[in-house]
Amino acid sequence: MTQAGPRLTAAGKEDYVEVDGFRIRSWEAGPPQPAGTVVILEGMTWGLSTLRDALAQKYRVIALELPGFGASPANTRSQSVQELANTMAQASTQVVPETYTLIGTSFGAHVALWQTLQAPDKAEALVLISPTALLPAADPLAGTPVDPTRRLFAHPEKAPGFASVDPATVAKEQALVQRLTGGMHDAEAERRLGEIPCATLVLFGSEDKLVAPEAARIYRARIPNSNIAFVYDAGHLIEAERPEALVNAVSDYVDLRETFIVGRQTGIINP
Amino acid sequence: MQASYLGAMGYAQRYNFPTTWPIPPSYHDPETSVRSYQEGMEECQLAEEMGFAWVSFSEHHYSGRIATGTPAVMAAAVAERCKKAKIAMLGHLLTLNNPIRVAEELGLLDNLTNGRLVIGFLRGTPNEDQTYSVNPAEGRGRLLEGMDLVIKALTEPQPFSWEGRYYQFRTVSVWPRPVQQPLPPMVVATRSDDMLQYAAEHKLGLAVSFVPVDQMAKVAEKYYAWCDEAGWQPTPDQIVFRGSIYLAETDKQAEAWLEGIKQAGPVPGGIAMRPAVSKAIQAARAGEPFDLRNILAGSAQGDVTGAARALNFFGGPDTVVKQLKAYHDQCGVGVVDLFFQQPRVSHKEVMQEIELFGKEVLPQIQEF
Repeated sequence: MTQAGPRLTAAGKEDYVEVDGFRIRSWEAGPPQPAGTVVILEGMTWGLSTLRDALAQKYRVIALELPGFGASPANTRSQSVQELANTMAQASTQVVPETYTLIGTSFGAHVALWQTLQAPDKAEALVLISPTALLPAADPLAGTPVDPTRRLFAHPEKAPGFASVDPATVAKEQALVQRLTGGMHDAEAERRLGEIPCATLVLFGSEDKLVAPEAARIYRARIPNSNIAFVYDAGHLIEAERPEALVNAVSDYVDLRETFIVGRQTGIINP
Repeated sequence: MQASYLGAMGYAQRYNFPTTWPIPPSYHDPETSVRSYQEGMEECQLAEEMGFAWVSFSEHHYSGRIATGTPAVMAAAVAERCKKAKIAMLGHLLTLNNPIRVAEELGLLDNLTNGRLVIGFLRGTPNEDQTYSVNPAEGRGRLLEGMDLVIKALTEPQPFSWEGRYYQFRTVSVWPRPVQQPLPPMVVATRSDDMLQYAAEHKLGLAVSFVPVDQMAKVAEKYYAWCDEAGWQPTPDQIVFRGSIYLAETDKQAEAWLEGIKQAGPVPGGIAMRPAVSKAIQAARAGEPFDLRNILAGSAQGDVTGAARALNFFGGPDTVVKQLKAYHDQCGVGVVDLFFQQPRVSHKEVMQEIELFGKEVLPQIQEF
């Protein structure tokens, strides 16, 4: 498996949060007078700071690295996604006593979903990017030998510069996800989607080959105040292939919640 | 092989048009225009009666030659007269239109016809880009994204947002959904490799227009290979060829008609443009630089480029059957979409041709 994108050096402050015996890496940035707080749970996308940077222009942004991902040691203690979500909820509360907008990507979105269910008063809004929680359709590439990059990118051939990640890191992350999810549809999460109290946006790349984008319709049908969005011509790692579109949609949603559907672009050509 | 009648709805006095596009509205006479549409619909009705399996409609603008700038409106009117034939939208020019509006029109048409809709995607001739001021350089990208968006809009059961390169819609929830589930039959009208690959990967049919049989065979060969690579093979009715036809009782009569046409002077094609415009469009479509200074040195009179399409099928019934069979045998064509409204051919003559085709040609081509 490869990790998407160059590792950008955004102007943020790295630190650590101690929770449940884990030492969780954090990154923080934002303006002097932020409009609010955004917490981003990051898994394999740690270091892809396009979205972080864009949101940090206006918001206090805190990115938290999931224990067992990236540079952190192997996580052999979390026994379920729910338990890991509880850890992340505590970590979030330590750095952000107030409420926040919660964003998760891929497995991080699965954790963010459970974090919201476990701490419903903390999330003002929830953004799930390519969430892996619900797998209603068969594996889009089942039965075919597939280059791992095809699962992550719509156009692997157009993604030069995407460096390979240390195979040991990949193995560590995959082992954790497999142990916690079994690679299975999270029926319990699906059953409880109706309990999510906050405005929720779910995004999928239109060419996602890891999770069939048809999963989006379940979130839209079950979460009371939700929107789903398809990012055209992007695979699972939307941020790697259509960063501008992702930033545009997520920023609008963080700013405007469900009113992000209201058109605001002018049609005037020559006033 | 099945036959399709192209409902061109040509303006009866189209032989008076200038050669260049667009045709000035000053050529339009309301009485003639109303009569022309009525005659066009009569032709569609007769075609259905004579056994044509499809009636097709095509989006073309600013000309009375194929006078259906809003093809869905025309298709809806004809669908009330033709109750058996498939209504083939071959089709909307996706690069020019709002894909959501196109999806809504297609969904409604499939409901009005109780599931007789066939959908075709195409880009259009270079002049069409100018209709709604679309940048020719962006046409291919808009078409590729537009097809994805139309398919998503017709199949997604929940309201959604679309974050595209050319289109952004924050609320899409098309109603009504098509009667044919999951989708009506779809073909992609193209000869371009990337579009052929798109059609093959998405299990969509192929439509090709007006080219000689050897050229279509090369296109079809590539398409079949990519379909094979994608793990499927198209059925005969997924391979469509649109061609021009002049059918007479005998080859000799057809030759006499052609001689008369030649003697009458240049055939008004109606899609030609001034060379500067034509070259600018082609350069933009190809992504090449274009230096206007080279054009300003050219003819101030505006010589025209582009010629009238050649006839693909010409002659008496047996000759036309052989010509059609070549497209079937060499390209796998299962549906031939026929453009009967040739220059200087009257409504009465078109009706005679349709009847002759139904009696003498159709029974033979239905055998293969």
